[in-house]
Amino acid sequence: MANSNLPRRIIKETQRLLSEPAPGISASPSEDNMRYFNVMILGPSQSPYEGGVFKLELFLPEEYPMAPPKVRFLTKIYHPNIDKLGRICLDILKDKWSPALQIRTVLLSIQALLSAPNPDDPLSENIAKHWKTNEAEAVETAKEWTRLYASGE
Amino acid sequence: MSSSGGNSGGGGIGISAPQPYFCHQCNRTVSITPSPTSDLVCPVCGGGFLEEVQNPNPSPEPSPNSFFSFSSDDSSFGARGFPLLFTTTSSSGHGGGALVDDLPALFGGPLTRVSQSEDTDAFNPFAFLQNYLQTLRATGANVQFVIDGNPGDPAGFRVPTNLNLGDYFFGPGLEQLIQQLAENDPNRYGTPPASKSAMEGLPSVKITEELLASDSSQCAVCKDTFELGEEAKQMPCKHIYHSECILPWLELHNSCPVCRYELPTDDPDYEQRNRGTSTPANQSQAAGGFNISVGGGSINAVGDGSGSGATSGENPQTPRMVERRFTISLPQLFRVFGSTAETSNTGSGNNNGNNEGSNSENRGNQSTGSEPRHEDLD
Repeated sequence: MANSNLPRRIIKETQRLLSEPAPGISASPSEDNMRYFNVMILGPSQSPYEGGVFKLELFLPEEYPMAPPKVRFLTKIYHPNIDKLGRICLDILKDKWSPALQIRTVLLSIQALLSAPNPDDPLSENIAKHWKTNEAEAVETAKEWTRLYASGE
Repeated sequence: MSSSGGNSGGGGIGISAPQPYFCHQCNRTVSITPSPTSDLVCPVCGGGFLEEVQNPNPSPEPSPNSFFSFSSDDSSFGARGFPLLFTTTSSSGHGGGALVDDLPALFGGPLTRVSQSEDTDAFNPFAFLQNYLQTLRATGANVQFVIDGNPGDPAGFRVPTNLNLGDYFFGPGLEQLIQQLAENDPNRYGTPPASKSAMEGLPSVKITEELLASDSSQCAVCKDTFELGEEAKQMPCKHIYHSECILPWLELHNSCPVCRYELPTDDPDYEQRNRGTSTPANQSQAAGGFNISVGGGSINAVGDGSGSGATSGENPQTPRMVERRFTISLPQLFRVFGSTAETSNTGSGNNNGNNEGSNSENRGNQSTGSEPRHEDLD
């Protein structure tokens, strides 16, 4: 079973995520796979995502923490660094990963990315273009999508 | 068999029967009855540039079943599986590999099929892969394909002549390979491994009360608090880790987990780039080479720090290949061979959907810092 040999660090991280969750973030492991987390991030205030509840999935690969967690948005979101499959363009999830980082810091970084979209390093070309040519309109679309898809049912 | 080829079969001179030929002029397979008295002529275009077709009945679609018939019936692949290595180097270090020079040779059938397809808008994985490899070649990479047999077997691996490898790489396998190529695999794009000598040179320090009272009382990798009197490794930037925490990381990447201070590497390209420019640690893949290999149950490409790894960038003029290896698990494709080439004959127990078990074994065995990475891409 995947849970039989769970490294102590993962157990520690999980316990702390549950006992002292970061503001606006919840992460809880799946019952049948302790490496798979159901995550919710609240849209940061003063961002187009304010008021939204965004679901994500996070998976700790076997190599973790030598390799980064795999994280993906499940809730549809209009953001230049997130593509339509929910994949996230964030350096610490790729080449800037460090084993000193952890689930909590990753999720905080994703939350920060919602506050500060970076259309110059886009994952979603169209949305990035929209952001650069008409930011006000793009922000409106992001708000609209937040209402439509991230209203928390 | 396309015995329906209505090419005057009735004439039947002697024993000869209609045989399939490929006409290179009209680009199709035709059926011709060879005659001892006249030259072969294409019945369609009248041309004479004909080639006997070895495998006369290529299936128009790669049939999913071919995997299983292939893996269970063809014993020439042996229980070790069937690592296929596209390598950039002279293939030294890969015991008994057979070199196949280009992609079309490997993927033969599908290329023809693909080029005949009219649907140019649809994503064509084969064309993409070929394009990608061409781009690598254009940037100076030397890309070759090696069918790599059992590393311990000097006889190497025979490619059955009638085997169309393309059939085996269509579908999920090829898509995964492409995804891996296209995606930012952290282990490919992060900084290179620390040099062996730098790792060996890291001093050990004893944990003191003073240190325990400071804010570095915890190992940043395992998040455990150090214990008084225990030994730990200290990086030049003074950050301290358990040796069993920091060394596996440095075998992958040369940076301090806390501050990203970089140790020397055995990657001359990387060293040169860093010396030449003031921008630190700019990744991007080394132009030196590229290497994909396909093992039983997995595709892996090797990241070999350098040829010998003995000298750390002493002679930057020597063109030393940098190989990159990464791995894609193909449990659904190579179910029978689930174990990787490194695992022993008992490896059949490892094929339960992923290769994580064998992965850690690999890591232990690799001393050059070349890590076969097994990535689950779903």
